[in-house]
Amino acid sequence: MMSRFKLIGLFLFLLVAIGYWIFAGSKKYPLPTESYYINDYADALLMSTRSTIARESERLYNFSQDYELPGTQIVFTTFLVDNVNEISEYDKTEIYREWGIGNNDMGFLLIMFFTQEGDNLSLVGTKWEPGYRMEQFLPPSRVNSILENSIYSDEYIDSLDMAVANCLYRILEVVYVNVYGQLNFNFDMDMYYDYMINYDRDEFYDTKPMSMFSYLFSENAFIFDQVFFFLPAALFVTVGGFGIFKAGGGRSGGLGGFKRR
Amino acid sequence: MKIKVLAIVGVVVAVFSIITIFSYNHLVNMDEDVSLYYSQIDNRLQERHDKIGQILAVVNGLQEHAETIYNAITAARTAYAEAKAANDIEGMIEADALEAVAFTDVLIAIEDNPLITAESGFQSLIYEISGMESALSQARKDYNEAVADYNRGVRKFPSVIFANLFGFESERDYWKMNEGADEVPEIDFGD
Repeated sequence: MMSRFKLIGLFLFLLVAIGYWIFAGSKKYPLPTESYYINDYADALLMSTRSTIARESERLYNFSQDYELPGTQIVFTTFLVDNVNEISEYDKTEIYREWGIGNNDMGFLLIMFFTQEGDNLSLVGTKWEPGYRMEQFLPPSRVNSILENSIYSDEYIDSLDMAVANCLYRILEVVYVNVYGQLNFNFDMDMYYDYMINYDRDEFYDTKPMSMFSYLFSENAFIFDQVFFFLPAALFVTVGGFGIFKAGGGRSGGLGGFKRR
Repeated sequence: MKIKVLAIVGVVVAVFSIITIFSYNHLVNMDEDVSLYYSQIDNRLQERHDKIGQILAVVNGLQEHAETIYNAITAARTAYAEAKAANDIEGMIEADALEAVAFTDVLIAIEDNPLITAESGFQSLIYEISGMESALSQARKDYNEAVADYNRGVRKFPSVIFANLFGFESERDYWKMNEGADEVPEIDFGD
């Protein structure tokens, strides 16, 4: 006869298994990576670029906490596609909402799509999505202008990383100046180039989505996901296990765009 | 014995009250979601009116087409305002479609006149409109999903009882556009 301890263990296992099954089914797109701000699933960027995106975005998020519209998050993502037509299968608004970017609807998502031939990756398109409140600061015409002058600029045609970094800095410039009233936001691409080629930090930014358990314990997880998954177990073991809810919950309304190379 | 009966009655009343409160609040939430997404469509349509007006004002090359397009937009705007005042969703959807047609006419006129694309500020406005169409498409989708939730909710048991009891509408109208009318036009300047 099964002991009471084993029975409770089996019951908890079943709860977790059911929770996992329902949770996995509710997510259409991959979870973000551990670093959240940079999700280089196409493995297209140098570690220095990933590091810059992650650090600058985290810095902006922390900086924004003291202002009227706190919680701004800039998230960059890359996906590998077989061809240009496959891009239409990625719904930028759905990805934005699943990842819940930015508090107070102050988020911005940039997705870059790449195709691969041999070892070469080619940028074939970009999609972007601002949160509801970010729309007024990063409207389609302004984002288009930023992309034209960075990612799609002939100046950076030989260096995707320089182009992406330039794009990030231009977005940051808009946010720091127009959202948070800073007088200016200075960046120097020559300095960035030096930093990029001399980069030797001991950092690693993964190109794979975080695991479900990492997500549930992360500070970026939706509180709903955490409660939904952990509540049954918590009722039995009477232990919390809830992460700190920092981001998440950001909404957007589809006022983004798509641009082909 | 009396206490036992009272306890049973108390439990039944408590359970019924909880179900009533839960069902009523759920119906209110669904009803509010429909209203919220409806107002989102309304806002986006208003923004689109403004943006198309700006395009016509900015682009000199559209002068020969302007009167026709202006008339189409004005007709759509008037139709929308009247339908909104009468709370006629079908009329509003028709007006939305009329304006989508007017917008397509703007693009056709532009395609026929390549010199226009060189004008200052023109491309920005076109990207704004393209973004607006994308947002409008999303707003319609969100609204229809909220309506689907609501319609399902008021027909399910036991919500159907409370929906009738508290006078909730038995069905809300979807924002149905003709096939292709809500497609977001792709902007390509060949650059």
